[in-house]
Amino acid sequence: YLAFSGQKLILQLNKNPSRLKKQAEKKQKRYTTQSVTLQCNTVDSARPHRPSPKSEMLSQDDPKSRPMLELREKLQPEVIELIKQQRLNRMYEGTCFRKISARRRQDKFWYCRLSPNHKVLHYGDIEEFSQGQISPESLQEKVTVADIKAVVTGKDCPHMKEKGALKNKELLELAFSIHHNSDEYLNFIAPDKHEFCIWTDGLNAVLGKEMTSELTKSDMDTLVNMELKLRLLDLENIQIPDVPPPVPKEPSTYDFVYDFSQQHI
Amino acid sequence: MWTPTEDEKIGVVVCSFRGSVSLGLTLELGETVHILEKCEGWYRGFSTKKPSIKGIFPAGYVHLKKAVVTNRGQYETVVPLEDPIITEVTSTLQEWSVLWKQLYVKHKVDLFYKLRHVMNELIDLRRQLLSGHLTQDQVREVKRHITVRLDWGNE
Repeated sequence: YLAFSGQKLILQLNKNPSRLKKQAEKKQKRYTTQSVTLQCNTVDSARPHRPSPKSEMLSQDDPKSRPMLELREKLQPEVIELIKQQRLNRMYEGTCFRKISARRRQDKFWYCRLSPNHKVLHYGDIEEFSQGQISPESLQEKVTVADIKAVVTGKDCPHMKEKGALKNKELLELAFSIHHNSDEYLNFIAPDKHEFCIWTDGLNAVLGKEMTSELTKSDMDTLVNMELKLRLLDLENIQIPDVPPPVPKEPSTYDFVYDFSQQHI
Repeated sequence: MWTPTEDEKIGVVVCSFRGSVSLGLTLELGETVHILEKCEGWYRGFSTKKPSIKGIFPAGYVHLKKAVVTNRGQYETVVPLEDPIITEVTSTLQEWSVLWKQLYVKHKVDLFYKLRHVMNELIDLRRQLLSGHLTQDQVREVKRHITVRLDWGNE
């Protein structure tokens, strides 16, 4: 045993130096990037100082400029589609929910997931908390999406309104209910705020309504900002006009030099 | 009359054009266009995104970039005159962007944020290269950083 542990020690000693070296390299890389930036700034200040009045500011650096706002608006619909797909995918994977009750000692669990065609919500009790997916076959109950009348949240939920119901600020922020058929409710308590947003967004999406959660806003920003940066890559250092330049009179002829009408591309 | 362009070959769109004229080409801010011919303040050409669609657009709506032209004429090839590493970073970023959005939809959170981080670093490094404010040594450093990140991403 001693011999074995001796060997182990040697192995570890050999491991550490290289890991430390890698970490040191990583750190160095980060510092180098920073120092390049710092050096850039130093080089800049070595040049004659040029004040940059607002008129010289590049439009793409100003997020509030008209062309920027217009481009953002243009990018939003595609991004909303992506967010919707993500929400639906998550609902298709399903989530394990808790049935919280003041009367019970132990919490009970149930699972809910959306069918692949997005038309049915399958749900049912499960024995114990499950991280993984539960197949729809083992979920006994269902709600048809077409029968859903509305989705309510927080204090408007029946399980938050009933007398003796456990109510605290946290629970109210995680509670949502599906009103289906004429008088039935399926009540949920999301495991966390993130899941609450996923499900309320997802349900709004299948119902053809707008997704309004904080998560949607934040995902939207993340996705649109990147898309914007990518669109503007080739406009680096180029002035974007604030207002559209004048459009010249239509050309007096359409007799072009090149004829592409034979192309089949 | 329309005449083939000599030096005006590549442009980047500085203002979206709705194409609201006969044979007009709809163009979005930031798109790259290849210019074939010109006439009375108009260019005729196509967007690199949809090369098979030719149309006309106002010359004032694009910013011209230096280019290398081969095989001049109807079937010429035009390549922007820029450091090849810039071209590589730009096209890699566009490729990764597709992947990145897939990671989002499939909820691969870890990889999604990691890739975003690397993409932002690449955008920044590319900007530094294009700033023209770097010394030779700095340029070498920045290019080294870029290569490291491109390698990471390709894995």
